[in-house]
Amino acid sequence: MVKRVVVGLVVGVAVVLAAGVGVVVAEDVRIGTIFPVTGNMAFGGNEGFMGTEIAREIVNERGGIWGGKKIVFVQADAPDQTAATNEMNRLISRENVKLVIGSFSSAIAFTASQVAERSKIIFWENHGVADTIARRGFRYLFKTNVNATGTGGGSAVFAAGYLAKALTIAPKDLKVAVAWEDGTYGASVGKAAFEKAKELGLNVVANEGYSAKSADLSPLILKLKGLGPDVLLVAGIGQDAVLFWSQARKLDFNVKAVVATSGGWGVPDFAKNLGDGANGVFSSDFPTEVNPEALTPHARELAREFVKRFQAKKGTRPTGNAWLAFAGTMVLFEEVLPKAGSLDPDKVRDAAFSLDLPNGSMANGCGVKFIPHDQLDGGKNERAFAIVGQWQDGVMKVVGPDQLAAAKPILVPLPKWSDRK
Amino acid sequence: MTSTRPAVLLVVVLGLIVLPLTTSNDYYLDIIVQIFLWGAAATAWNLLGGYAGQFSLGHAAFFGIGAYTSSLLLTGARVSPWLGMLAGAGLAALFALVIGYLSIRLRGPFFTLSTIALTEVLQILAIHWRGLTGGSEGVSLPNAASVWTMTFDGRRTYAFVGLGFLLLALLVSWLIERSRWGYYLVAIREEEDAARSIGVPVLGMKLVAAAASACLTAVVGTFYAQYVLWIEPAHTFSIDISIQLALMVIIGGLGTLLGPLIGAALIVPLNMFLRAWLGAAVSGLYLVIYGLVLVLVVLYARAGIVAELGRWTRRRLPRESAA
Amino acid sequence: MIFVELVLAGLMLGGVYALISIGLTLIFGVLRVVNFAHGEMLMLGMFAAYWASALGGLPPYVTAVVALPLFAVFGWLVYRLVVRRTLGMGDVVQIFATVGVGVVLQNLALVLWTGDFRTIRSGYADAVLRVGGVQVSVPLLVAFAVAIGVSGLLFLFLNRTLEGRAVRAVAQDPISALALAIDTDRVYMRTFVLGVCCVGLAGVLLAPSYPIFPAIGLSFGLVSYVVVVLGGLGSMAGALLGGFIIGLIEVLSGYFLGSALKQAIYFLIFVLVLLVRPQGLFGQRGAETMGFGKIA
Repeated sequence: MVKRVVVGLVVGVAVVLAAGVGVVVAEDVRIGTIFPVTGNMAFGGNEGFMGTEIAREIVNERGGIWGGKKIVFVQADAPDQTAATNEMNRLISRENVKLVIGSFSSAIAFTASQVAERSKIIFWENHGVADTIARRGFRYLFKTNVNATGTGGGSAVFAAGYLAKALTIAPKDLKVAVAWEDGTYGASVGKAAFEKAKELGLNVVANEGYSAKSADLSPLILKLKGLGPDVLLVAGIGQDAVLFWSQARKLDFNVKAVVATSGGWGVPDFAKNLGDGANGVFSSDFPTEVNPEALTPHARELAREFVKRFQAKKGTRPTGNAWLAFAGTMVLFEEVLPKAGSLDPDKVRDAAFSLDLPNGSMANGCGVKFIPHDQLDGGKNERAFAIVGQWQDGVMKVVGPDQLAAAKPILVPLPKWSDRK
Repeated sequence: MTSTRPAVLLVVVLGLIVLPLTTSNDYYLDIIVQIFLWGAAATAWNLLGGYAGQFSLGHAAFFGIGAYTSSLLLTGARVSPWLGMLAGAGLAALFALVIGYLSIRLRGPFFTLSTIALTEVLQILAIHWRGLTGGSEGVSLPNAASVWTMTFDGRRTYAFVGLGFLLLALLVSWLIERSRWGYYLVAIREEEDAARSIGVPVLGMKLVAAAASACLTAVVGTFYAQYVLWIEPAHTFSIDISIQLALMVIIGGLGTLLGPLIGAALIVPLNMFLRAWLGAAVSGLYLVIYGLVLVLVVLYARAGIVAELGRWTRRRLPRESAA
Repeated sequence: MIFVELVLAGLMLGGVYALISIGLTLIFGVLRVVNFAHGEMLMLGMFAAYWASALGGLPPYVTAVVALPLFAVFGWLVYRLVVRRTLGMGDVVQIFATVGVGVVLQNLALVLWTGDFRTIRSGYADAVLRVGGVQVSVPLLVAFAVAIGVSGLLFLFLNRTLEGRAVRAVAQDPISALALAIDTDRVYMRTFVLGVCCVGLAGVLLAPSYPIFPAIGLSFGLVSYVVVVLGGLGSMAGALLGGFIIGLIEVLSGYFLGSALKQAIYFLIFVLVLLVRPQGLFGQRGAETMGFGKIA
């Protein structure tokens, strides 16, 4: 009896789903989105999607594109690689979209763009950092943000430059430990940080990978503690960031400064879970609320509007990821699509390559110029850069580079755990 | 144990061949490819789980060995995946034989636990040996379509290749089922000690089942790699794959020829539809449903759908002498 | 100095593992069922502590007491609805019934509470004890003490009380136990419930020390199998000792071989134990090769 019910339920559900849904106005511009809105990366995926969504809302409210057409998103959820492939197939074959925006995660970006390229549709990636994403010679991929070398390398640059000076230790004497989660994201960023640190002559005492899935990082932390580094450079993707830093507190692992590289260290959840323990942590991160003076008037206005709407929806201020989504999508909607005149992938390509916007044009302070596809990193925005942020009072403030800084660094060197309350 | 009637088999095979021709839509073709792919892997799992009664939750290990071997050989030494696939199968069989020899006397849950542990170790090693495997960034396979590199432009071609692997797995299963080995395996599964006492080579048979199962799973792993063109440790050596294979076979019918395929044909589209319907709204709900179905099937209908169908047809159709 | 810290960390971690494993070994020792949903039940215990703290401000040691009846009812439900029907039913049923339960629990948690990770932010969670130059986390110390205490209590229960001896009788030989008019079904039920309460308690006590999210059951769950096999199925002392050994091995191998490989090490140990000395340190020889559902 039970089995009949079960089988019946299953079949019934399948039939209902197969019937399909969806009411689409012929005039709408249908664009696909793919983010991990469920699963381990949901915290970042949701934030990314929200940034993208706010861009869409603003553009639609201001008259849409191509003479009043509204943009409609066809959403896809990709908590992992397999889902990414399936969802991209669905978007392309069943939903007939010609352009997909994504994706928060390097891994998702990698796989989804692969499917897009095979079908020759445009994949507009605003977040993925791994160097390998834009190094496959793809012709329909555009990546608006920095590579791992940007954030990873940036953390080492910050250590060798600002921190060495502020701590009055010569770079060659500055003991630096590099730690990274060994997934696609962390391995890529960690490698960049390590190599840059060596290149700059820092005294690298450790280069340790760890599994983001471990429930306990005490062996790693104790090992690092034993080496007595001055500065910690770390790349964490998600919950491991919170685990790492809270275990560092429990095990009394003190460093003079820590420079993380966005990921799990740069999201609001980090500050929420660590409270005042998060203050003082630097993050070589994606540009967030930069100094308005550094933006063009239009970008300034967009930035203000974005913060207002994001706070209304989420209750917190947006972090680097959300900014990437918003700024990158606005470029697509305001600069590229109007020029292209349609969603024809070749026209969109040409429009994108024709852009030459100076720094400060994007809402997050970057400029736009895509590297031609026949060169290394083809399709990447060469005017994207990383900034250095710092958690201050639960908010990530931009503290460098100077012309973008909205606040000054504090807590250098970090107080010992035993001295904090 | 009744073996599947040839007439039914013929109808099914013909149906499978026709299936990829019924649609040109990429989305549906993708579902078809995946049904064939997972159906083949589930059929392979069934050799060890359904016929020999050893429940592995570590088949992702063989899947991954197949995928990585052929992919690394392709990217590193320009060896065609058709050949790399054989290397992968051989490696997987070797692995199965060594581990099997050591752990096959473990019964029930302990064998299962050790398979889980071994897959975890492989996953960790694949991540750690970055020089060899590329670590978490995985191995990226060349895009260019060419028969020699088992890469195709059209999904329909993939579907037919996948069908080939499925038919291979079914053939191996069918041959074993009808042979003396098949009877040995059933005897071992039902009453191992009794079987041993009448001279059935228990250890040898289980190892044969393990090796065959590993080979076929590895071959499917290669096909998977060539289909998605990117593999990495987290998803290739994942316990989720192992659980889904077991789920498909249990729902479809453990120890039957077509059970695994039926299970796959049910689970794969359901996966896609549920994800499209619920995924964006409520994460994980479809997995809750799968878990519940697994528990219910295992407690109340553990012979699976094939048995239910069999019972149903026997009731409705005129009685025939048992096949 | 660092060595002292390592050993201390290993013992603390070991205490954690021991506490988690006690319930598992008890359930296996008596019911001969490997609870594949063990890690997920731990996760539920952790969430119980989290919600009690977030919604009611209850500190974990209060939640531990207050939530026990909840765990008991939950354990009873799982026993009646699922586990009871798997007894004597062969491997497929026993393995996949609890695997299914685990999948349901983990994803139900995902649906209800999302994958966001939560931490208990209270003074208790961050409290440390400083001795000499070393510091130890208070919640972990408490978990350590409770692990020893609970295993001691259970040991006394099983060996010094009538009811406990009935449990051991059922574990050794269910048919004879029946013949002695012991209600085996009730013994099974109570043991299962006890086991679930143990792991729920473990979850509550561990909640202050780790981030809490649905998938955390997987990591801890896998380790608990290693501990239980190493210590010997059904043995309280084994769970304790096994926990400490694994904790120390994990910390030391993490330090010397690098964090990435530490998990590989104890999985290898797991397989080694199964192959070389399957009964573990204190277990009954042959327990793991006995067919399930067949009365030996």
